Amino acid sequence: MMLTLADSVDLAKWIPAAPFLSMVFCAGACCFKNEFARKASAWVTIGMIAFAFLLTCMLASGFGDAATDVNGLKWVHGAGFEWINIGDFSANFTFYIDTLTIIMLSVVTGIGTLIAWYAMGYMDGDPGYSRFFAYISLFIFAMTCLVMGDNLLLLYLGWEGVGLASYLLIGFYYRKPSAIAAAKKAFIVNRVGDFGFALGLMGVFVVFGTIQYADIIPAAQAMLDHAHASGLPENAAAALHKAEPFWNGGHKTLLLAAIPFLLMMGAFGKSAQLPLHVWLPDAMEGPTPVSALIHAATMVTAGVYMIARLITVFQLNPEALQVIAAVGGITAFFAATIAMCQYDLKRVWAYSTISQLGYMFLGVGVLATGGAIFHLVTHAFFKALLFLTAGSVMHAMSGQLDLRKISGLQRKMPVTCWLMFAGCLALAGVPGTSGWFSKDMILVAAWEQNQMLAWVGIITALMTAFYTFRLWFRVFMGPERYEMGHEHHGYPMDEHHGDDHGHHAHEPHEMPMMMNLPLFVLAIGAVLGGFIFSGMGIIDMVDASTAHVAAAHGPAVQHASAAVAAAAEKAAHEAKEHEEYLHNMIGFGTGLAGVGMILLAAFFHWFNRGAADIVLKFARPVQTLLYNKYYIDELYDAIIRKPLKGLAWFSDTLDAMLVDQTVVDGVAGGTPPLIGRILRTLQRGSLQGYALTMGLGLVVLVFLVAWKVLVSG
Amino acid sequence: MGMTTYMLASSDGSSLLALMVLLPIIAGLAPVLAPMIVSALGLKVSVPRGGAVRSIAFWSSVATFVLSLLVMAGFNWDHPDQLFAVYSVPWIGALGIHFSLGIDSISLWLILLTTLLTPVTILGTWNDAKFRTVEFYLWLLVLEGALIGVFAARDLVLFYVFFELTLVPLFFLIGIFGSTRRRYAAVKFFLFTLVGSVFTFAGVLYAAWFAAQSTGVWSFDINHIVTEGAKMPAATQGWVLLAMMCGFAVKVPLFPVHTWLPLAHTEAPTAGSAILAGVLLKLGTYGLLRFVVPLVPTAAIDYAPVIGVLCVIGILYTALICWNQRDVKKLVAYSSVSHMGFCVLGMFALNAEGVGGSVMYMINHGLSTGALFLCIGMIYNRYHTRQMADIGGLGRRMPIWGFFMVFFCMASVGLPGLNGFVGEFLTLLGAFVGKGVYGTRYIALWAALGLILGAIYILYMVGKVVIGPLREPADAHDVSDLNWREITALTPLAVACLVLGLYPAPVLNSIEAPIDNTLAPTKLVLAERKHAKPHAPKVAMRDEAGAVAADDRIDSVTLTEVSQ
Amino acid sequence: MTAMAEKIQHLTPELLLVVAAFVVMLLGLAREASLRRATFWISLLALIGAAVLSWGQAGVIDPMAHFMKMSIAAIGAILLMVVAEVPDEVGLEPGDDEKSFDPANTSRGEFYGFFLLSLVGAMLCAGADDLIWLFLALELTSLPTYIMVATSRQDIRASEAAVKYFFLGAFAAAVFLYGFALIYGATGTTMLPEIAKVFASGPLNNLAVAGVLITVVGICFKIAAVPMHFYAADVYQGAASPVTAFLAFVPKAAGMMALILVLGAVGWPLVNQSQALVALLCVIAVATMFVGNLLALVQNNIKRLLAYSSVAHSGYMLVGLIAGPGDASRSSWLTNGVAAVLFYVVAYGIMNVAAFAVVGLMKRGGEEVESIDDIRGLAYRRPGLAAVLAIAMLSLAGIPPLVGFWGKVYLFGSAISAGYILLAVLAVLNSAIGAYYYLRVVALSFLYEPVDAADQAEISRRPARTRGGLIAAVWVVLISVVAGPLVDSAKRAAGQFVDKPETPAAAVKPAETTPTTPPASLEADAPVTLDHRESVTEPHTPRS
Repeated sequence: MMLTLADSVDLAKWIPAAPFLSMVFCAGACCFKNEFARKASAWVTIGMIAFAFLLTCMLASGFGDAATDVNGLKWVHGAGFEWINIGDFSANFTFYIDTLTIIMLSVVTGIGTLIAWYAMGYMDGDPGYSRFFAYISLFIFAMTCLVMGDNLLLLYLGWEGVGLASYLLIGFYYRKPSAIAAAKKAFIVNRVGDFGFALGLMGVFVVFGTIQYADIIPAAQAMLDHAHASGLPENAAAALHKAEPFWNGGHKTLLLAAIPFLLMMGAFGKSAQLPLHVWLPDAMEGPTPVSALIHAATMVTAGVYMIARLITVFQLNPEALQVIAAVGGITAFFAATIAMCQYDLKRVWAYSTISQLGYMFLGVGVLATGGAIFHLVTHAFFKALLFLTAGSVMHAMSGQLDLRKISGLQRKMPVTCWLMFAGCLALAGVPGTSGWFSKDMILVAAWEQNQMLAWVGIITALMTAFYTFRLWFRVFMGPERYEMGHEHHGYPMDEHHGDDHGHHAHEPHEMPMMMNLPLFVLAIGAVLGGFIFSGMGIIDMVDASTAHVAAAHGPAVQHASAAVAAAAEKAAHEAKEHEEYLHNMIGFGTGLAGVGMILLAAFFHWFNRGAADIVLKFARPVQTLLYNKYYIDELYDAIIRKPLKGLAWFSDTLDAMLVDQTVVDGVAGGTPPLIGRILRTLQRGSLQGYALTMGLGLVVLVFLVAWKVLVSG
Repeated sequence: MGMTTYMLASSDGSSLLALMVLLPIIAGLAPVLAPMIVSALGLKVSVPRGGAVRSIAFWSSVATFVLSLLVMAGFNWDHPDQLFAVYSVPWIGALGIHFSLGIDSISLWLILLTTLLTPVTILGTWNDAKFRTVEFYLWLLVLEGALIGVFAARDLVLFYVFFELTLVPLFFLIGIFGSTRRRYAAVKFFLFTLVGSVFTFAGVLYAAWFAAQSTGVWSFDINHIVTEGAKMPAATQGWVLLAMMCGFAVKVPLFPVHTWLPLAHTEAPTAGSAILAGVLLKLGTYGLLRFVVPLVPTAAIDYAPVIGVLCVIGILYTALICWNQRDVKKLVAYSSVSHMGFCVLGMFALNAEGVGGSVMYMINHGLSTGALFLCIGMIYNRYHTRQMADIGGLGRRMPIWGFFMVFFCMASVGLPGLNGFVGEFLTLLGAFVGKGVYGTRYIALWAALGLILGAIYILYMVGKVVIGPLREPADAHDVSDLNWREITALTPLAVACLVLGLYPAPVLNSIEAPIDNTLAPTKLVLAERKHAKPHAPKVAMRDEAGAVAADDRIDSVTLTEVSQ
Repeated sequence: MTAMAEKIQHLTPELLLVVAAFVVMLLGLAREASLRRATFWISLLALIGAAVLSWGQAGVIDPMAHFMKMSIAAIGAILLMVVAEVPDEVGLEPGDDEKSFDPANTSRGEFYGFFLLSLVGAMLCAGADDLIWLFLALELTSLPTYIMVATSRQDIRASEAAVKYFFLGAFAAAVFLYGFALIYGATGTTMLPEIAKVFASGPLNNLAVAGVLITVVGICFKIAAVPMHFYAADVYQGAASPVTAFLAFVPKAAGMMALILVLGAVGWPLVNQSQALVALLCVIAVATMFVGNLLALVQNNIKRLLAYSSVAHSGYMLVGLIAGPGDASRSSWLTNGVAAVLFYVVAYGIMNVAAFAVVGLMKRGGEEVESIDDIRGLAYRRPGLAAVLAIAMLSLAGIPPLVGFWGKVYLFGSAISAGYILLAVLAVLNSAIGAYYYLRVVALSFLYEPVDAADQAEISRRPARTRGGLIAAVWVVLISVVAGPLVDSAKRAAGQFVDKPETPAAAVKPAETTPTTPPASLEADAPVTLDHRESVTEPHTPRS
């Protein structure tokens, strides 16, 4: 089939539409309980997501020619329909497609297809089969809107839409109170971030007068250039914002300084960065494919995408970037420490995800958007792989996920074992694997900006290598010993009525080959992704979407005269050499140290597990602290949830007792009858009394009035 | 059908409006009057009772809906701010009162909301009226007629007549067919809102008199009064605003005059709650939009911060209260107070975004909250309890119901893509942009916290009632999922929620022109003020938000100051 | 034709009723039971005849007299239906058996007779153009009612009520007679037109003002306004409910007309200018509204409740009276307070009759019900009656679109137009307070299930009264929906009081030049200093 380039852009609107249609289909299929409806919903979902992936590929191939170059940004406008237009505000269902979009779309639909495929087998036998695929379709729909939208509001739609899908999927096993609590937590914590994001969006509207990327980004660039040209320090806006509190100051420059911080809140919420990270580990209550797709590969990276997309706006307040980098670095380290001491398989991967997201934030914070997005892509592969293999283990062990209760599965599940090994290599950053490539990009960029943060990143990388293999050695190596769990499809066994689909063998067993098929694809990506993607020029692709980063990186060549240009070229050459040197040092240094950590992990968790116990005995308080995740959940409960709940109780009581009973019923409703009762005492039924009062009334009235007449003359 | 075609052809549908007001009322009264007439004439004809009355009610409300669709079809979409289907006959000529109807697009959408919600409610509460059936549908239909009347009225007194007339049917609906504390609730609802609205009435009379004073023409025509009223001196405007607010704020309801609402909602029968939340609360905001904003522009601007603060308190305070509820219905009732706070907040931002959001909010809140009350009613019919302690995890027992419940909860909590979002976002945006009116962005900031609290209480409810371990009262048995009738009732609302969430453009585009008209007086005042004080900080944020050349987005003066 | 004959011709409706009254009194003593029963029909026909005759007098007599005579006769006809069965209920009425007939033990004839005579008095009030005539007419209205109260029930409380009513009535009569005397002393005439001329010609004479003040306070008795309202609850409670319906309307209509005539003689421009009168009227109006409503609020006795409600309604009417008729240049405006009062009197009469008719139908052990609890669940037992009661109550509460609402629109609108904004605000506040107790009655009858059958109040079979109530309710609804004609009539009726600005130019000018003109005649005079007047005039000043 020959398609013109215009067609491929035209077809772009089917990328969100396809999963939307499959969502509608699956929702309909929910009403039918027969096997056909179930199967069909899975196939339609997979088909539609794959179709979207195909369209993405077509878009990618057609993009180079279709894109127009505006202010150094290459992008395509995808037609859609009108959404919210009133006053000066305008946000439509139209698409902004550039290389960044295409990368994100590829990840979402590509990984999405693989995971949906896996889920088809994994979820088999679940009573909510069609429902599951409806949610997955909803997620893909929202995620494509998020990355394709040409304005912040459409991004927000996707943003909250994936939040909803995440909520529904975490709470998929809705009979488990823990799942519901986790789902609720995820939604609410994300809402906290969204609160900031919404305000940031409004701030963008006030400052820029629009929320279309195509207008914001050039305007922000112009501002940056203006600031450079005026010889102002880059953080002019930040300086201003110190001068007076930006909320009440009302000056839009101050608002401008606030915008990155507000948007950042949203990113922190969605991407589970400190201090809004608490929801992600709990989100593991959802079915494992969901953890892989949403809570590792795609949704949680939305924050990174958003910052990369608006990096120019963030650059207007470099302090904000510093905060992002710092938060990213600290989160990476912090989550890694927790991951070292967790016993739940999925929780280790969850904290690892938080940690890796921290790297990405560190990357965007130091303006290495290319590296961050690169890491996003490789992470999507290996983390999806890790989660899915964890899912295989969980499936095989009837829900058992405790590292202390599983050991030596290698013989029972060799395929899973080595698939996970591939993922672990990438996560640990063994030189040559995809994780190593992308992590290195970030660390180098960080080193150039802030060595402190780079060191944090490096130490985190070492810890990552350790905890990754701690898990792998524990689960697959060592003596074969295991304890089966008590769950099937997220439901306690005893609740599951018959219809055993053969998954209940008392022995752990390998997944069918059909299900493992996508895992191989992921494993290839995890191991070789670094070569593949950097070969495809992913860094340049991202930089093409974030023009100013590119411009800022290369010293401002375009402004300089010829003589200066030559000097600049020389400087650039030197810089490049220096960078290569750094790459070698940091990349291989960290990589080799990581291998050392793997060996250390092998010692403690394979060869001599007793030694690990002895070490732990000495570090008991630390271990307790880390095992309990620094007690942050408890802290939030104590300082936020409980007081707020108390306030809710107080408000409720206040409303009933004071506002309603006292003021409304008591004062407003009670005063007239009270006066009535007082007046009533005059009505005693005595004739003489009446006559007297009437007479007195007459006298008082006439005297009063007569007196007035006299006074007024 | 022939008749309506004739009317459409003959008179621009002008009598259609009158027919829409009268049809439900007549259909409601007919079963009451029929026995009297039959017995008076000594005929031996059986008069409709019970089920037949219900069918009459349902089909007449469907007919009203069809009429409203006809009006919509004939509406002048090119000029949505011009009155359409104007129908005016002198009513009490000596007092200058006309039976005068006419709609612009805002009225039209709200009328459509009413005419859609009524048949849906009748269908959704099909078996609720187990006794005094005739009366039940009488009041329901009278209520519908009165509500349509409010939105269609072009005469201020007529507006007020319909506005107050809504109290009577709801009083009976709540008082007769409600729950245990129904009588207290009915009386409280009636009196609370009446006490407020009598002052509104005084304000109406004053405004009419003022308009007559300045033109020499006595008329209650809304345009006439609004045009002239805007010329009132500022102090007088303040008093008129206060008087108007008395009635409208209670109806909305705004904190702190909201306490009738949770009670009335909780005690009302499902149909009553659905219409009450769906349409009746909008009378308050509609009144504010039609009378307060354009009639007393100066006062509206001056008092906007106060009203904004009340809205914010209402939003947060009642959202917190929601979180502490044990009764599902009461939770949703309180959530209405919180939601309507957004609606008013957007309106008093006095810009197109805010007011447009506010109008959207009226429609959307009507759909989603009306539907939520229907959903809760369906549960109540099955379990005879609404306590979250007694029921839980019903999504397992009733998955279809669970779907609708979660769907409408998400619409209510403002999930983008569903209708609630459009209004909520635009009202907040309006408040944020409307710094010139509110004086600070803190109002928008605090109001936005409602987004978080809203999620907390709605998910708290969903977590208790829809998902989680199944919890049913011991005496519940044979509970089945929604039947086709109930699904048919909820589906149009769900579709409307989705369509308005993804494609609100027809509504937004059509209300823009009338909103501009509504805001014209306030714009004028703001411009005057700006002109009067050239050195004062900019008043109208709208200007700042406007297109600015890329280069001078950062105020160069300030930048220079910093660089020195 | 002589002046006397002309006057008599003007009085044909009244004469018809007087003749009917005597005929009825005589026939009431007939041995034939059928003849005795015919008294009802004779009275009814006479009333209808009087209404028709009054209708025919358009243009012949004063507009107000024309309107009020017609209305009183027409409402009288409905009232007659409601009170018709009172003599039967007293328990003395002899049966059809001629032998058992004892002239001393029948009250039917005299009851109808007094009924008609009282109506004659009220109708005469309407046409009064002389203080003496006015006094006589007022007394003719009241005196028969004393007897009606006494004979309406075989109960010691009825006698007590009658005695109270009589003594206090006499006291009040003495008061306003004293006021009349002062007016006469100050103006030298009892003819109202002459008095008006005297008032118009010069500055206010303190003596005359004192006379008017005392007169107003005295007449307050007739309309049961503060401070002369004390009797109302006791008398209303003591009398049989149908008679109470009569008491709440006829003397009140007469009293309102008397007030209009007296204030009309003073002239509203002068009334508004005189701080003394304005203050007095405002104090009375506000106090009456509040006292009536607040006392009604705490009543559990339905008749006392309605009695205080009647007091409150007098307060509303006084608001219109204070506002005055406005001036001719704004005849199309909501300015004519006097027309509002006339409209409201009629409206109030009808809705009041409907309410009392229902109450009068309920009995407990042969005695009238009094406790409000006896209405409980009426809608379950007799939905029709409950509907009548509800219509009456909602109308009294001023819920749109019922006629009570239109009355309030007119009354309070005129107050606002005349600049009495605070007064209007207090009035609307009162109508909100009042809504509570009316609503309570509706709530009891509609929202509560009836008590056990054994404990229920029985609903007596009184076809005439039932029909009367029904007709009244139908009229309430009819006037509510088509209020236009009645408002027009009331407006025409009040036309005679409307200020006619001296020059036509002055009438047009204010509307065009200054948007703020208070009533034209006020312009020349010193500003009025009562607080609420100030608050009103302030916004009128054109903006700079």
